[in-house]
Amino acid sequence: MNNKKTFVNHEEIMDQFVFSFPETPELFKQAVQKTVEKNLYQKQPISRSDNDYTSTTDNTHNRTWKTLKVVTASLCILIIGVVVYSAESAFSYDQFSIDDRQVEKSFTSETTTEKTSDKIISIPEQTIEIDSRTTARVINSTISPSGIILNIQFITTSDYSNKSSRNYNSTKYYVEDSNGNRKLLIGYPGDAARSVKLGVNWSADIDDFDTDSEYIKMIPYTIPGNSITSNYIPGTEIMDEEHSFIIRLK
Amino acid sequence: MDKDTFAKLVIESTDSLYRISKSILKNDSDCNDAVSEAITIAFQKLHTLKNDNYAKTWLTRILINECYRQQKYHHRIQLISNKNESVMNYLEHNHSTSHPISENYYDLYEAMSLLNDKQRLVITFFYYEGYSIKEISQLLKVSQGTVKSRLSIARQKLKQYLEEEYGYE
Repeated sequence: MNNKKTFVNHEEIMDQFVFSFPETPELFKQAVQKTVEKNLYQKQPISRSDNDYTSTTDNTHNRTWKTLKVVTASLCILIIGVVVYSAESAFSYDQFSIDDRQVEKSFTSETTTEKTSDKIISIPEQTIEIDSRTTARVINSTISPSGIILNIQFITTSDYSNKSSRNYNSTKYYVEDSNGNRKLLIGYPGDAARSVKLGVNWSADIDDFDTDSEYIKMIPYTIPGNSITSNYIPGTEIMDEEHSFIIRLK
Repeated sequence: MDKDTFAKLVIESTDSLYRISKSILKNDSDCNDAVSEAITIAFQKLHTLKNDNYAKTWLTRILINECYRQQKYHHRIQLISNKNESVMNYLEHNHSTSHPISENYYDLYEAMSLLNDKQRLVITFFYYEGYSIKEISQLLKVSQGTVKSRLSIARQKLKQYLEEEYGYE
């Protein structure tokens, strides 16, 4: 072993590297030669000796294989096309081709047909403590095939002149069913009670709303800024989960 | 480029093809497979080669891809730290070689086996094949900075190993 070798000079390194690598094995050289010859003469129109059938066989094999590949690819494309077309048709039927209202209507009518025998069910009267100052009394509320009608009477000791107090009576709500589906409520404020109705104005969405829900959750929300002077931008509502309350439906 | 010219180029590049494949694959039979496959692919796609000047670079690129494919397919990732195997391979290949000086440098070849694939490949391209940094970056599809960094780390590792194990100065 030479202990005086250096690893500093670039040329020295080059020499060392060049001599360090094993020589190319003969077998490898022969393999390369063979591969080159095979590829070189495979498709060339060469004059073959009587006992040399390799090229013809290979070419025939290649042609057959290529034809097979083309046929298979065409079939695949055809099948994919049919599947995509079918899927698109089904999708557009459900989602886009028909006017949303028509779809909703058909759903609603189906639901209505199914539930025409259903009776109007009264929502149990209940008093819910929302916070230390306010309770909500649910009265004369019903669930029917056409939707839910809620009448809520808010009883509060809050001084509404105090801005820190939440005025539930004029609060906007989201309603969430027990499946977590949320809907914006359209409410009709009254002097002593606020009635919020799900039904007439929500007929289009009634099928989405689970009338079999065990309960609904009322979630107050506010719109940032002054909602009277500024334009309302959907999706900017601030949910007040802390003051949400649950109404039992059954 | 016509097939005859390309065939000549391939034959002339045999040593180079071996070194490159050997930098990624440790097993000679795997190298054989990878190179044969690369040559076949190159012949089949020869009509797609736009600039004849890049024929060798193009073939090298195909070979690299094929080597990685082989490596992945066969799950034959060699343990580069397997010192004995490397030395055995080296001695086996060089036992009957005609140039006597090669026996003095098996330590460097062994040290190379300690590098990872990427570093070894860069060293092979730079020192054995004489490619420039720019050409290597195009071949490996990495930035020139990355090539320089790999080269530098590889050199550092080689230096350290040779100093510690073989008393290089």
